[in-house]
Amino acid sequence: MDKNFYELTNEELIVEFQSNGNEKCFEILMQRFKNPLTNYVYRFLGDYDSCIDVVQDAFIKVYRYKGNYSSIAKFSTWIYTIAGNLARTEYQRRRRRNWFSINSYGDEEKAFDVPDNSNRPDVAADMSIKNEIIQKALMKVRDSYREAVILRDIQELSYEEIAEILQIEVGTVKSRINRGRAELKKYLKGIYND
Amino acid sequence: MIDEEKKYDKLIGDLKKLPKVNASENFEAEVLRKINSSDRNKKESFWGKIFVPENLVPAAVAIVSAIIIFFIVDINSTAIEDPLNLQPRLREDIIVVEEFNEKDKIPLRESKRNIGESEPLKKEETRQIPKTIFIEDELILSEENSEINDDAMTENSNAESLNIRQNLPLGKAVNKIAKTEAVQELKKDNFNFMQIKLSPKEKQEVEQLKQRIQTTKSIKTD
Repeated sequence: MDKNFYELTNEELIVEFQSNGNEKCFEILMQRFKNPLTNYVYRFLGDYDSCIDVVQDAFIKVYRYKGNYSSIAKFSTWIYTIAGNLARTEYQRRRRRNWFSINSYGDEEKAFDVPDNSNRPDVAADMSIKNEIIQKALMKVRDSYREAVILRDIQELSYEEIAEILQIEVGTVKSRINRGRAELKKYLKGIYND
Repeated sequence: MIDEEKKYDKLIGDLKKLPKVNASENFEAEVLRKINSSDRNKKESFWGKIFVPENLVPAAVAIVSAIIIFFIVDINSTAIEDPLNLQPRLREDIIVVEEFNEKDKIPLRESKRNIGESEPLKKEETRQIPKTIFIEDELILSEENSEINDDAMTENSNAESLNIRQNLPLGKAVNKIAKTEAVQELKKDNFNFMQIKLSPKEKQEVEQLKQRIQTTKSIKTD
């Protein structure tokens, strides 16, 4: 029975979850999207803990508002839109405070909940200084350009999908990506001399 | 577009090579735990809290008591009832009498002037007697029917007595009224008390008692 669910597409799973409330479908969708979303949000926010919170909130929203999903759209674009909106809100909140630490998110109990370091890019075995510099440079890029560059060059989504996720025209997506790349290259002058 | 991608070829390559960040192992369990806990701790809306039936009880009691007080106590009434200034209750028969219009008083005044009564007395009688006077007119006209019911008599007499006044010349009418006033003093039919009909034996006894009283009175006077 479960095998059948694993064979279903994302859209079929969410429709099954909508119509029958089958939580197994929701779990399968979580398994499929938790890592891509975590990567996307982490590259956007630059902080793993808040990234995990945002992705979890995105899945909670999918669970609660499953009825809002329209079968016309792709499930991936829908969940990327939710996660992107939450990430943007979180980023703006953090920027307003202009301060962040491990204690600044969640309640006291959470403050001592140290995540698994094996998943963190900054402590991973193959982590290089170059990657760290790129990530720092990425964080300097304007928000709207950054999310477009991440979705295109890191998540490797099509222009159409990005346009749908960001709810803008494809042309705007392309221009944002180019400007983002240019800005990023400017911040990485030391690496890219040409 | 392809040219631009070539321009940033190295950068794009490095971005694609960035290590993939994965979610924690207990990610799903954490999400499900949050979903379950948030369902339990689901916040009640402000209006939901207000309209809980237990919260409505005091408000409902207050509203009901306010309505009751509003209908029982007339706050706007300024009239204070002074028992000394209260108007006396009118008797039913007098109310009936006062239904007569002002025309009914005229013959009585004229008759009283002829008789030569004093003014204060006249005023009282114009208030109370007019109808009874015409009732008596009717009685005089038909003395045989002395046992006519009072109410029926008053109703009939209203119309008939007016006819009498209209048909008769003024002088005759006045004389008639004068007579009826005299009769009225003696007649007991119009008074509202119980009349006991005596049997012949009882009548004889009463007569005997009366004679005794008279004889004793006459002896005393002598």
